[in-house]
Amino acid sequence: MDELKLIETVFAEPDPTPEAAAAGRDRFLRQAQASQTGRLRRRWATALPARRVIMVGAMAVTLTAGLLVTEVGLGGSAPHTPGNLLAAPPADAKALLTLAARAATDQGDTVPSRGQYVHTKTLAQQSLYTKDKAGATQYTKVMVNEERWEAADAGKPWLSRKQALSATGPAPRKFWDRGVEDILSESSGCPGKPAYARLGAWPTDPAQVRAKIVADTGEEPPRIWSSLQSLIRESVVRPSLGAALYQVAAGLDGIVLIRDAVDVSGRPGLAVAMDEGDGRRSELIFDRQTYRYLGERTVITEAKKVKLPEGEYFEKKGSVNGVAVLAVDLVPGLPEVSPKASRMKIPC
Amino acid sequence: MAAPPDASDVMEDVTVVERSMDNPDLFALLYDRYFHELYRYLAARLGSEHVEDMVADAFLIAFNGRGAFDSDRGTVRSWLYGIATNVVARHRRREGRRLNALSKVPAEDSADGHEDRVTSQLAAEASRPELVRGLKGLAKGDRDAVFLLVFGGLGYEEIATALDIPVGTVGSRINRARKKLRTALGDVNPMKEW
Repeated sequence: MDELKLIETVFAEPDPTPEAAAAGRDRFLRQAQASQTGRLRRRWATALPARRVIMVGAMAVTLTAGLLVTEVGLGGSAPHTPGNLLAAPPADAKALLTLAARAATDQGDTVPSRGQYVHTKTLAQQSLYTKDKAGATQYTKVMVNEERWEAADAGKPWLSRKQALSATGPAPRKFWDRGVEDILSESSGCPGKPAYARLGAWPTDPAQVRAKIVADTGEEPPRIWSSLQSLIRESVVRPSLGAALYQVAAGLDGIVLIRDAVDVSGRPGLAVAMDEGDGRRSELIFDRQTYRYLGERTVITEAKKVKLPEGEYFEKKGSVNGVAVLAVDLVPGLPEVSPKASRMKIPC
Repeated sequence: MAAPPDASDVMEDVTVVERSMDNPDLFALLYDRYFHELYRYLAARLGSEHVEDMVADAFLIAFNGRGAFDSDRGTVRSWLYGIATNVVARHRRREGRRLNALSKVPAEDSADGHEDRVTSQLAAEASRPELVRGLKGLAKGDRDAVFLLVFGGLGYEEIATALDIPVGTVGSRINRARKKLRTALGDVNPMKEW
């Protein structure tokens, strides 16, 4: 075996890096999916309509059929689409973020033409704490539909629209259902608002993005993570920036992979999570097959007393707040604004 | 449908291939099982630059050709190594460049610190030019058999499956290759003579 041992010593190369392993896997899955697309389309042509009926029925409590269509279109992969093929999960959180960065790079930015608006639709899960007559804290889960229309051109107004859809808990309806709440912001060209304009000026090089974040947060991973969460949620309008943000997140100590995550709209996914050290665990959730960003959640892992000007309450262990991104698209203009809309001037 | 979480623990390779005909997702289990060793094999033969893409290409060939896999003719593992060897054949120029590069780099130019290297590694570096020139002089099929033995850890029967040749031919190829390599090395055992 001596000359054979010599070959092994001379020709052995270092093990693949996690990035190389993830890149190879991603390449294989994409090509395998592409090679199967034609065959699957024929095979499942009759199965799709039945599936849609079932989903509409299951989700009718909180989502309309219209929302369902946009949800699938965003990148959540239904079981019978090519995106769902070959779905063994990545090995760890870093590998998932690497795959997510590649998926975001492939996605391309949403680039509005002059006069168009970037429209985002999200579903938020919020916690409402009330007190009963005896003064005990009560918890109610509230699902809120949120939409934003942000102008591509500086100086144009932008609209935020919220409407609570449902609630689970003892809080009276008047506490959570305020109908459609429109806020029309009369932009005066201020820098930094809204998100589309602000994020458009960000670099997409991961090192530069990290430096920009760290300039605000310092080097503590939980603080960087916290900043990343909001930036990632906003950057669904600009996936090229999202890709850089995922790569920054991949370099943080303390991130872990959660294989059986679910976003607040009920879509299953893979999550990258960090224990924030204060009784909260926050998660970035990605589609299991396309690795596109689905949303974020924060889970209360320890009951905790919170003090507010109105009094104090205990956050319930296991309660969840979060946002699921349902759609990002371009529209020609603002919708009809509610006559009761709040009209705000953005101060510079 | 995604593979069940414990499928990789309970499902044999052959079953994975068979069931992947109806459930293509399952094929990813084979990728996860064999990525590292096929990477190691292809990196040894072609160098590590972007070799993950070649591993992916090998698995894609396997995925698209899984309907033709015949378990009576050998194991899934040897079948995958055979496909990886065909990938090497499609990149003979690259293999040639790697062999040229390794044959020209003298031991003293190695970037590794001498203090970190064990004696066997130093011996290997000293013998490297002769070894690589010996490998370049082998027939391609002989070189394939040797690398499958060294980096795949395949037995003669598995190599026979991978290269689609009789087992007896594997033995003769490896014996011939080893004899030539020993001659190229000066008929000494470099690991002992150092």
